Amino acid sequence: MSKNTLFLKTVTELKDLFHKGEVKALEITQSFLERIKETNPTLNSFITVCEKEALLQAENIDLKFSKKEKLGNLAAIPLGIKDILTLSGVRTTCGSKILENFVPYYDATVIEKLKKEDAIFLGKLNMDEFAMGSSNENSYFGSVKNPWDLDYVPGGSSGGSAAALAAFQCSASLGTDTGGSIRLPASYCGVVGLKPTYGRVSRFGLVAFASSLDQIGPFTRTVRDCALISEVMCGHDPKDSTSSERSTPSFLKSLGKSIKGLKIGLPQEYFQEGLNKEVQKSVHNSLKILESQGAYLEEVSLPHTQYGIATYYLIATSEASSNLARFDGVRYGYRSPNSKNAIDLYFKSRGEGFGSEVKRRIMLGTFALSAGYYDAYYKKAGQVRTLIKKDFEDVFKKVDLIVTPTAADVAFKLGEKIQDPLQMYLTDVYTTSLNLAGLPGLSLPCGFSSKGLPIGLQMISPWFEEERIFEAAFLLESELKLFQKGFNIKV
Amino acid sequence: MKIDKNRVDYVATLARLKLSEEEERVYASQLSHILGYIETLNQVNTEGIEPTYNVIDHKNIFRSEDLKIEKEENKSLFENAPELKDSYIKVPKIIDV
Amino acid sequence: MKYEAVIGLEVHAQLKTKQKIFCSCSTLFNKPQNQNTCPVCTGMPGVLPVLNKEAVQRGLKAALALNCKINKKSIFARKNYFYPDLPKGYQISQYNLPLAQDGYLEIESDDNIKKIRIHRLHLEEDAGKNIHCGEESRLNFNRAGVPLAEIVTEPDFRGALEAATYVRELRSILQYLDVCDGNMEEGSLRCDANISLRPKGQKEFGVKTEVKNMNSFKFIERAISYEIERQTEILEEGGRVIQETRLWDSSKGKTLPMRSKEEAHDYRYFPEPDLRPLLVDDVWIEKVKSSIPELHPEKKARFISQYGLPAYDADILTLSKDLADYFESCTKEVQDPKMVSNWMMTELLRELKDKNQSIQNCSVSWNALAELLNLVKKGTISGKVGKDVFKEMMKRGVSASSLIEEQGLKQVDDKEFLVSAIHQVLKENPKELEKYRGGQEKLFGFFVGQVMKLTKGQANPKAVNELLRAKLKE
Repeated sequence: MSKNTLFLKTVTELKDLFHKGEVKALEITQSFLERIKETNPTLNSFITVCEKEALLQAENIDLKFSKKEKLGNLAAIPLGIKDILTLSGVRTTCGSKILENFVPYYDATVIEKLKKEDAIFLGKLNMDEFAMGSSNENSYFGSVKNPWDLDYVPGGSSGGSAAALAAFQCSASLGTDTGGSIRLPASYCGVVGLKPTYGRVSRFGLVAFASSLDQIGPFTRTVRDCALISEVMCGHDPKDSTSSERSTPSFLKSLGKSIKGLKIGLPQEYFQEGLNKEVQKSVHNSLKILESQGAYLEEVSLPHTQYGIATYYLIATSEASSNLARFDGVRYGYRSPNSKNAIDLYFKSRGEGFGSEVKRRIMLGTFALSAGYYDAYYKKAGQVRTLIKKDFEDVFKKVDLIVTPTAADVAFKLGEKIQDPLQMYLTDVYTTSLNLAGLPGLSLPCGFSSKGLPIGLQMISPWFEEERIFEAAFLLESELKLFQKGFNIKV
Repeated sequence: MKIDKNRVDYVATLARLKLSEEEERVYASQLSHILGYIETLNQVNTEGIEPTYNVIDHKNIFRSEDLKIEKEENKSLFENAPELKDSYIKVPKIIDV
Repeated sequence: MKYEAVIGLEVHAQLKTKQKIFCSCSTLFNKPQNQNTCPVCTGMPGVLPVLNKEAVQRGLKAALALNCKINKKSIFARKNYFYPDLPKGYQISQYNLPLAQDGYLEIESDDNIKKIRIHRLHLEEDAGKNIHCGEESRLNFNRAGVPLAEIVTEPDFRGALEAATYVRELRSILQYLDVCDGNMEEGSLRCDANISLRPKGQKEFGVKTEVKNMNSFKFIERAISYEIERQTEILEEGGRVIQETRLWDSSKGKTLPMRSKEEAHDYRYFPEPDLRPLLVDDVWIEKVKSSIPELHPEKKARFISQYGLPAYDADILTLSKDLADYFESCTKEVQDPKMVSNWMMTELLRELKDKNQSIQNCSVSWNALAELLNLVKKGTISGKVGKDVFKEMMKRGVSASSLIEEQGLKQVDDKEFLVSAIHQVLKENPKELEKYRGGQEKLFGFFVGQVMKLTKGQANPKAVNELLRAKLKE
């Protein structure tokens, strides 16, 4: 096999080839690095490419392999990392000017786990500044383009992670999801993206946007790859008090299981006006397939769905206003050069270091927590959050899995919504409720629009029962047979 | 809720953000617009509902002092500090607000 | 009009843990700047706090000793404000649901027992330290993240002395519990006061000021007295007290206002999403309860009844557990509590004060003192010589017996030697001898004193008495 096409392989295929000794880690890595060189000027998906480090890692793995030393489960698998996760010795920018030159010397716990399995890190991926955005147009390092149509957004905030994977710049990538930031770009770029249950994956080393909502998850080309990488990422971490002590089941074992008798709930609120007809058709087509595999479909109701966005934006921005207080130009990051005193240094460093969307959200969150408004905004949002969570608890008494579209529409054009923050926020209408409730959700490609843009379907399971998602998603993926279409991208 | 310039000023001061006049004007109108949408929450009767602030298991997680952890120098601090003086982080003089 | 002062105190006590409250950095004082830091306590991006169990344990111990109700579930909250010594831009503290609340502490005030109600006790992290150097400031984060218990009283004090007495009593308890070392100069115990005045008999509170930076008992008393006087003057002149924070300036002996802005107190508290609620069950509470030792008030009462000490002495000797332990150990050896108490109250405490030593690092251990006192009791040396020996022991840290040996200080009762000394004294003081013989018997003491002086205090006073009396009858 010619090494130029190694970048087209899935994680599972690469793992197999490497373990059989058919290809070397170095060949795999070089193939991806070349692909990045060739396509990144167009896509702008990488902020930092770790060429030297990746090649060195690959050589070490090859050496270990030749000495027959024990290698990890992801040996020689080249990954891209959203630039909000710390990788020791490599700058972590969060897509912001304020952290443009910040270099951490501690690994995020997920990175530590992936390193232990001998995965290779190709570099850090572009994103909306501090994960705030739905289109990846809010990056200090410029917008990312959708590989399916360069005039379109890849979705956000993990736009770099989705675009890089869809464009074969890496074999899998990591993103973070606070209100849909994994699932929306996965849907817009035609790849698989999982947001695990809150607490499944350690947040240590994830630069917090909204601590009670943030969760790290993988982007992959197939459901099998997703299960493989998720197994490595999950598990309790003593460094994160909010990570769950529950044990991680084998997700790979769920693949291929029958879904006979599985009860699938279809929340009526997710299939109403505003839903694009082509999206609706694709999702229905998938539902028919699931039904033919023995699942029962049942209409259910999540009555507080319409309040999800408002609740989400209050909670997320309130937490963010506090989480982003540490970026002050004192200990690290951008420091405004002309400050007279320490107070001035704060105002100028933050005013000049943050982009406009980040400042807007800090303002909103600061307001929601400020004296006299807390009860009416922040506390009220907390109460509605209780009701949203309860909606799901009630529905999961009746069904095993919920299926919805990931987004109401396919990707939109660059610049289309950037002037209207509220319209942009409403893009996340199907995804934010899961974060509020802490539920897991996976976006799976389920079709294409007439313009050739990918459509995503979202599967939601009860808390800590991701296996159900993997069972259904794997079956649906095998029936839809969309994989080959992934090669039709425009770069 | 209409956000006026005074409120924007107050919030920006709380958040330590230096905003240009243009930014103040735009944020005042955008935040008013967003809060208008957010106020749909007032339609929800939340009387007697406990707020949810996180969705984690209620069980203690502690750090134990008995666990000896190898301490390395705080390289992240020393390597990233904008200005360092004898291992102190240097800032322009602090005047009390 | 007669005014009444209404005072509430907030004490920040540094909890004596080995590690910080949310990371594993050391809490040791006086380390080189920024050495006791890590990404967590310096607020680096992406790091998370994990609660130190020992900090909770010590907080619970203090709360139970202060008769507080423990909240089965307490919540950590973020207090948001910007200051260069606050790395994260917020302090992790407790707000709506503190670890403990509704306790009390009894203090003595004007010979009465007064109950001071404790409003709440909560856990929080300390900030770093900044040093001002001309046009710049320098930051040291060694203290950032050190665990604190904030103990807030109800506004139950009516005067400066009461407030100082409370802090003294509180410090004693915290030290007894080994929860806080109570060092006010190093800042491990800090106290702020909320002070207002109201016309006597009025129920409503007046406008209060918050006074900070009182880092000794003396300053607590002075600063509060000053502030009461200041407010009284304002009110008597028909003025109004402004609600503000004031700093005690010990060099000027005044409280001075801190500049502050409107938004300075808008802390935007909200539940800390990086930590779980803290749960404390009955089993844990009982376990901590059983580990609480006898505290100052009970110990004081016992010292009065068991050892027959005067209340004042018992109070002083039991204020610190170390001093009380010293007394009890020493008394066991000497079997004379009054004697031990007298020596400790006068000689020991004076020497400690002069030498700026504490009982823990005192150069005379309890058994060294016991040896000395037993020698005095046996008559090996006189009490007066004993006091000199004690001073020498404090200076050099050597034992009483070796000092007596070295300097030949043993008491002398050799009859021949004493008689010759008496002879010499009588010979050198013929006038006094004449007066004595003329009936001024008071002068007997004078002769004894002269003999003691001549023998450099080594003569056994009892023997001198007998021999002198016999001699004068001749």
